[in-house]
Amino acid sequence: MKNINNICLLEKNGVYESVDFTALPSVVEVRENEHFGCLFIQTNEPISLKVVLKGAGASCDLKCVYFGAENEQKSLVFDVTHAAGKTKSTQTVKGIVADKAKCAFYGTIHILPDAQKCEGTQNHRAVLLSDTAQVQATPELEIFADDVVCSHGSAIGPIDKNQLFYLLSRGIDEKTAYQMLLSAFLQDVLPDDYHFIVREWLHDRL
Amino acid sequence: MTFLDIRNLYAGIGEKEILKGLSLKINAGEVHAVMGPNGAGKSTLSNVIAGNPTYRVTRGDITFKDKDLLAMTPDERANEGVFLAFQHPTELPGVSTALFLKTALNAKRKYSGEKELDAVQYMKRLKLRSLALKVTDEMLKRPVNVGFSGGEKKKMETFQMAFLEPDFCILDEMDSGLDVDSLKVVADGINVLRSSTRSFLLITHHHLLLDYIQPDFVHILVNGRIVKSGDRSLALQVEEKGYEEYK
Ligand SMILES: Nc1ncnc2c1ncn2[C@@H]1O[C@H](COP(=O)(O)OP(=O)(O)OP(=O)(O)O)[C@@H](O)[C@H]1O
Ligand SMILES: [Mg+2]
Repeated sequence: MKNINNICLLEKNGVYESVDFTALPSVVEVRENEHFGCLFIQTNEPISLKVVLKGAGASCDLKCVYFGAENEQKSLVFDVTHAAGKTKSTQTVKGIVADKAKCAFYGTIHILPDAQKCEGTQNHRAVLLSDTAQVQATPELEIFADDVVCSHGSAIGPIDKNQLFYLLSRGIDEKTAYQMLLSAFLQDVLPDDYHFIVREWLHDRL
Repeated sequence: MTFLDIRNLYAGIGEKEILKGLSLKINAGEVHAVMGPNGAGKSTLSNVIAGNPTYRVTRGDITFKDKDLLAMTPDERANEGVFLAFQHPTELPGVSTALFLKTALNAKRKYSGEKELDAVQYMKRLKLRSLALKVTDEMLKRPVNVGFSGGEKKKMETFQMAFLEPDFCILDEMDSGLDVDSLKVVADGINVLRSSTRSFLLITHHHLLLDYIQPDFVHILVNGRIVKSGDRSLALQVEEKGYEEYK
């Protein structure tokens, strides 16, 4: 995807606002009872985000949708530190990878000794559109408190061929069928206004 | 012109051979029923006609309206007029039924060089067909087939067929999982589509469906081949005596 660069969206009162990624501090600190939410749409450059939940009751919701194609190699790093009690973090990452691209996701959750009653969850899913596409997900949990709830999961696989055939059997062409299934895959993370990216990205593929 | 002509078809999955020299000819306007024991290859036949790439054709050929069907992609087959109502319809989480129906209909119209329906025409067609098949607005609002009961999925398949108005309709066990009233609704939905230019292949285990939709021919498929063909009385015969004599 040559003409679309990484997009960084920050959550403000439940809606996303596009911002310049370089304007973010190298470490985002979230204070007591505050919330930080963001969504990255990663098309080219590597992304690395560090968040520290500093005050009690602070929370963050980090999302990323990444695309990889051709010989691209890209990485995404989410690093969350729970430094206070009753803090909550979620990481939701979804990727679509084609051709010979290699994508890596490193997701870390640190829970410091005094950070009791924390919740940290991490979820990664990727769809591989070719046998040569590669995705590597590396979760890391570093937990020093005992009263916490932490979970992580990752699922990587090809597009469901029964679903694809179902669409084709109704006369829908392959490209459109892929687009419908991939849009459906991203539906819970990607706002409606950004689904055009799936279409544009697929335009040069298949 | 021959409507559908299947000649000496061999097909299977991986190394497994399922269809072993199957031949079947269907003329325009005819309704054919296929019965046969579990595992005989009935769903394989319907999937091969629809072009499911999971199945491999190793020998034989299929022509549809004198065109080489096996050379076409699944979407081309659909746009040429082939429709398969699946035995086990697939769920498509996140794909809205409205978008799905619209995309399928417009694909077909584009293929045949027709203009897309405008919103009013589209709603009219949707209402007409959904009312007839008792597909509720609530079902149309959900993602395709997601959370549908077995019977609702079957109704949705038949509804899609009525909505897309294909020339050749394959219904794979449309009667399984339907309660008596729904069976009647679905059978009526199929009967109104019968015409001199449209043909049907009904796969079933029960003669009841064939009481509602009277077929012109009944075929017995055993072990990958059609071993006997006849009229409707054949359906009653197998229901009484089973398939033992054909094995
Ligand atoms: N994916 C598969 N892998 C291996 N064997 C398969 C697969 N799908 C079907 N078969 C086998 O192929 C044979 C034919 O299956 P098919 O579904 O065509 O039967 P059917 O006549 O439709 O049966 P039923 O009446 O139970 O629906 C069966 O023995 C089945 O186990
Ligand atoms: Mg079957």
